[in-house]
Amino acid sequence: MKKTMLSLIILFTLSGIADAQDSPAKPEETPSSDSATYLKIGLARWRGDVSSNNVFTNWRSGPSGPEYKSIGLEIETYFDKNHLQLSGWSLGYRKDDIRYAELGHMFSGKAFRTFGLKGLELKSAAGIEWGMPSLSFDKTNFSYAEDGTVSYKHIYPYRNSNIPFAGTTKDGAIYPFMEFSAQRRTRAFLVEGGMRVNIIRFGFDDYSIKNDIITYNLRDKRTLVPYLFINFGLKMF
Amino acid sequence: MKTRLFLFLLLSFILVSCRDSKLSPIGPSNTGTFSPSDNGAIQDAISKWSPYVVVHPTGEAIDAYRDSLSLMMRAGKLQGVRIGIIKGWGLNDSTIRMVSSLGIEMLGIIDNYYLFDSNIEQDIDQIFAAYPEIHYFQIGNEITTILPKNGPTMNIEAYMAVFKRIYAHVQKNYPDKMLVAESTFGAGTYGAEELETMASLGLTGMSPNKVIIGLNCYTIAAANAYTGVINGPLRQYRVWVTEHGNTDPNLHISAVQNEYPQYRNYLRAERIYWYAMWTGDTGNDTGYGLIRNPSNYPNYWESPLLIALLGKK
Repeated sequence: MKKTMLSLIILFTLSGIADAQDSPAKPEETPSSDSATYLKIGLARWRGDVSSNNVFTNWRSGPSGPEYKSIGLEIETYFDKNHLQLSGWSLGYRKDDIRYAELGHMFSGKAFRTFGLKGLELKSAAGIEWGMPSLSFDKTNFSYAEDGTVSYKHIYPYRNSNIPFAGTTKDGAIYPFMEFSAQRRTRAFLVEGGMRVNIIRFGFDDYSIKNDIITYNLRDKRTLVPYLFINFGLKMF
Repeated sequence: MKTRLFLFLLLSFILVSCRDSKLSPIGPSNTGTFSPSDNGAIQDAISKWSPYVVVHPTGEAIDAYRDSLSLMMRAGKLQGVRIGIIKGWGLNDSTIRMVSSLGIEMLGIIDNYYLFDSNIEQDIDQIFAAYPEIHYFQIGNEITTILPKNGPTMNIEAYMAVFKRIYAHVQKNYPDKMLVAESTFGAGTYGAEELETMASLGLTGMSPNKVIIGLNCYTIAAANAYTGVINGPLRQYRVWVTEHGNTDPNLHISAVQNEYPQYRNYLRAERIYWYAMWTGDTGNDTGYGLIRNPSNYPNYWESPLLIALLGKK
């Protein structure tokens, strides 16, 4: 977490230096009024426990705690002026859990609004993400009692969508998300850091088996899953 | 300036990416020796072992089986075996009797070829009478994929029709016995698609207290595909991974270390059966085996995983 924040600070500072050196004599640009399209690459990172009530605050779960990363590619367009209170839109692809090619392919679309603040832009966005999720959040904790009872809690993101042309009828997931970020745009570059909050329906299932008799308690719950992210963008046109 | 920016971005990426302290997969050398640095990973793998293995009922291996299974039991690394009840081999199989004599719990696979019999209920009566010590019976295995094309084959619709007959017969006459549905194919998405079809063809109408879901699972793609079914229509049912293994003995230990926890997490697998104790001394499946050359008993070959499980290193 500290390293991530340090990275963001370095990036914003550097962005300011780059801007000053690239155009020393020019007045500050007002990029929010510029129509532009950027190609962004980014890194996102989750570190926490969805079964906890404080998913936003339990980032320090220790070196052995859960930690997941994803990389993303996005095309982001800014309007020349706000339309319907919106400053732009973007389409993106996120590869979650980079260890496996077979899963963790997520596509998203979002609309956003920017607010100028002393050379920075604050940005809020909302959108939908769809695709084949990774297995990063599928967890089962087993416990074994001396009387032979086996108990386990299984937590997983619910599959509520179909990925066409392959697999089972419910092999994908679709869910809304929100993003909050701060960014700096120069003539050619964009640097952004912030938090994405995916709103995912999870299953929280409890099982207990004794003498082959199974009892279970199956619950669904929409859960906020925060990611920290940094993006770097290059202006395309 | 752009170069500096790039370097800072690269540095930032490294800072946020290189904190994963997971061990890389490790495997002992071919000779069954281990370097000191392997020791922690081996102990980690042993702690993740599931004490269940598949045993092919091949009489020629019976002495090596008895020896290795006994040693595994004594080491606390074996509780149950999955073993075939092969049609045409009679109902007094020497390997099953030997395993039974050791007091090991058995999951008996009722051979696919039984399922073509018109009076399957009578077959069930005879099998249950012959092996009263078996509590768990699996009805077939990879029924749509494993049978040779030049012989009788069965689609999943026909299988489910037979399975429903067996289920009804067992509930009526042997309510204390547990059934495990046929294990579906363990690579790609085919197995998950078949399991989903089984659910729609009547599996979900059966009691979760009487039926356990069997899966063969060898790849992450298969595990991923299964999750949509076991967390969907089969959410109420118990799950056993009835086959998992690796063809390279040097990767047996890392398969247990890395993949067993994954299958427990992703598939809520109560059990994982290692495929297999012995898979022949020639052919494509040889590498899966925990032992080789059983005819050389007592000097049969042991895989690095078996050596580690027995604490011989």
